[in-house]
Amino acid sequence: MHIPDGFISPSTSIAGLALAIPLWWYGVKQTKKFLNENEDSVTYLSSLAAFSFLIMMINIPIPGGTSGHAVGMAVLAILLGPWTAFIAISAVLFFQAVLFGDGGVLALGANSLSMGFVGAFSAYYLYEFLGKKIPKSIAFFVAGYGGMVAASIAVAIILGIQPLLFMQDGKALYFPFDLTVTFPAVVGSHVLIFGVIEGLVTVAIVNFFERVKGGVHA
Amino acid sequence: MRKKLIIFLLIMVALTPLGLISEYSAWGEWGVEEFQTLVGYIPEGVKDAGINAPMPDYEVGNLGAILSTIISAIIGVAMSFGFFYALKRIKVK
Repeated sequence: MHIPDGFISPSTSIAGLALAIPLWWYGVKQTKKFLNENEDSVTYLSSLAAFSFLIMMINIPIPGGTSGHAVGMAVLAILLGPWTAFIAISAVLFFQAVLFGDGGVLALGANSLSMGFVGAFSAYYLYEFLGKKIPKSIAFFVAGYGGMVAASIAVAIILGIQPLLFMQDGKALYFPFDLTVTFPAVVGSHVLIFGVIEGLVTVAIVNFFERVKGGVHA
Repeated sequence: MRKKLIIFLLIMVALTPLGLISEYSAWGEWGVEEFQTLVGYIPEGVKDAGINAPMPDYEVGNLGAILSTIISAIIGVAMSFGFFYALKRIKVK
């Protein structure tokens, strides 16, 4: 799900950054409010960001010669609220890009929007909508599953429009597979496998954090 | 709370080498050469794109895969804490 630099056009990357920057600005202000709530907030938030970093390192192979990983977007969205979750995931994606070459630096806007913004907000509102109607653990699962699938749809669109927009002499300039390929490959694998994994991770980790969080409130 | 979070993060760090089991990159996160196999050419924009990260693919020098992964994981945890402890101190209008 981490789009590397060069896989999308510079114009796509810049559009992603232009959209992300005002959202980051607002998100940082919300995050500051969370941090100032009580003295444990910063430990709690840092631990959840670190969790997201670590869970993304655990690549899981699937049939078809590919792999993927959970993100923790719903865990962070449910426990921290969507804006703080978006900032935490964006920060993690920044370290991954700059230090480990995982995901692009210029593509940070696009990646933060898909895994951070779309993922966290979809998960959060699914949970808000379902949380009081069905057992909590089922709502956690659905939030994780839905957030992940929503994020994969965003990635499939961003990658899949590249060959529709940027071709030269019959060859793609950037990502070469269009929407008819990216949707089954990216969204399909997340509907069938990685969404389920994200859902299960959400159930386990949110239940754990709910027990240890003490006086911290999102 | 702190003690339980530290134990939780230590367990998570210890689990990260499990990610090495997968020998395949994620769909759409291929290396430059893989495009040659997939579509028969390397798209112009993909060539020479991106930065030279200090620890590409979570490899730290020549330390070997498992140790590299664990050190990368610890760096990730340290960066996460550093970022939000710094953000708490910085004044935002």
